[in-house]
Amino acid sequence: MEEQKTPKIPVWDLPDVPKGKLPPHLELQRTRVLCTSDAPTHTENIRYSGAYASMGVDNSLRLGHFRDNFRVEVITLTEDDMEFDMIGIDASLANAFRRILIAELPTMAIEKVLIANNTSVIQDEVLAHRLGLVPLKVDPRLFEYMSENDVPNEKNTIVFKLHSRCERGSSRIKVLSNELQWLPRGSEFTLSTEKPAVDPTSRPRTYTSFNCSQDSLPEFSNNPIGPKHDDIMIAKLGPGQEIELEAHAVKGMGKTHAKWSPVATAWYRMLPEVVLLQEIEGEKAEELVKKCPVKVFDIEDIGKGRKRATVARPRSCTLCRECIRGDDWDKHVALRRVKDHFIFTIESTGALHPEVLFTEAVKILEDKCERVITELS
Amino acid sequence: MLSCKSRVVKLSRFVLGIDCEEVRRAQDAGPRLTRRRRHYRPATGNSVMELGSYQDQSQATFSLTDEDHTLANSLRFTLNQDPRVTFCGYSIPHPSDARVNIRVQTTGDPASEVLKDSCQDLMLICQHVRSTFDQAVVEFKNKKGPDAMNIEP
Ligand code: SF4
Repeated sequence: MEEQKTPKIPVWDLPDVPKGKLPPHLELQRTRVLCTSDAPTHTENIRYSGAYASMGVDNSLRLGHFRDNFRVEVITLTEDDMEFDMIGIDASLANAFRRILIAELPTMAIEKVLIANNTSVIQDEVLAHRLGLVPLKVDPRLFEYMSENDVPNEKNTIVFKLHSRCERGSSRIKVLSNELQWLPRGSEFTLSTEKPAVDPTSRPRTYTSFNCSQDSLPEFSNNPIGPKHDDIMIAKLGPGQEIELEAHAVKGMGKTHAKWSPVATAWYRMLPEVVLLQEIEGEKAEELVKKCPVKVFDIEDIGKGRKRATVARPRSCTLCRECIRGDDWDKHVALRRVKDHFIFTIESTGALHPEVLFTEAVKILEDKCERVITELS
Repeated sequence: MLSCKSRVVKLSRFVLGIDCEEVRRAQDAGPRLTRRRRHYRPATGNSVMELGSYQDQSQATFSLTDEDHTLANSLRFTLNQDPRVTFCGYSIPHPSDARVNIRVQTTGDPASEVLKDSCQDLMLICQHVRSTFDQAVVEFKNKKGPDAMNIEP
């Protein structure tokens, strides 16, 4: 970059580099991604412990240093989404948290659909798939995984019933997710192998074997299980059409199927940094303000009718690089990204609150480490 | 020195199994069973394999099953920041095999010890992230007032 060209100085006239600190241009390359008009440069993270050993700078992991510098700032937090800044952490860890949020945090989702009757136009398998994607409002930590040989019981399965019918002569109806009715006592469909009961008091065996009703458990007694949203369209029924089915939800993870992912999305971006390398005044300032589509720049009055451009909202910069296009604008404005400042956003699908999801994700990474430690020793 | 024998790649987890026999049986009488899938559950059991030599313990490849970039890249980060490590890297030999190989070469210490220390460091980092995050959330909730965000107590 042009503006970083330093005047030629004989090497013995150079000032001594202070020990324990990197010279400014290296520090810039280490901590910032430089977004030039053709491509971003210095995108890599320098992690090797001895990378700056010749300059007397220790690049090794110092937990104390990490603890002093790591910060979290919550920007917004609602029931369903949150945005926070995570400052002073490496991209590999931020990315690990993101990956775990998407693929490795369990939730409950409909996995098996027993269809007794479906005369609607939507096919069984499509209907089952649509049901699977309905987010359920239930804490997955209260349930166990079901493996292949397990019988469905009250600890690993949630059963819903859906029975909807459009009468002849009436107009078409919508089947919405609020028609999924929770069956805390388990399946009501008797197994096909079951003989007609001789003794009317004994309950015939069904597709699940619940030992007790789920609503007798303290967690669910006044917190019934159901879909997170009541107005998700599942199917439409014409006159004379009917759907009767049972949906069995089990615990799973996003890496098996996206329906188990507890987040709609989880993503992060690095903090944009917009720096004015020179004073930009008068008409040029006006031009700069106009260039930016997201209004990063403002005009500031500096007295005597003179106007100067300032960077007012760098956070909203999308790094579209419009402001460094053409002429020699890149000598006036520098666009960078801060490598260790992550603007992290989590959108929950509703099973757990976003802040709980993040804490659980960090716990999962801890568990992974623990597993490796125990297996190596 | 390092031998990675080829292994039979087990694909079963990634196959969405529909048990036709069962579907038919269920169809014959009453409700139709639409699908059946093997459930993934977190791995248990011995699944870290060390490939190295007894003569020189300072270099080894660790083969971790049921792990991916999530753990391997984080471990590469902490390993690289350890001054005892001269080289480390990881690879996923085949995308349909849930396995990752982590290569560690050290200045002399046993590679497994160094890897263990790195795991320990990563755990400490995670614990700090978690406590800082929880604290920030609590501060935010106190500042905004709990009902402003309809967050359950
Ligand atoms: S890169 Fe785009 S969004 Fe960012 S300051 Fe320049 S013009 Fe505005």
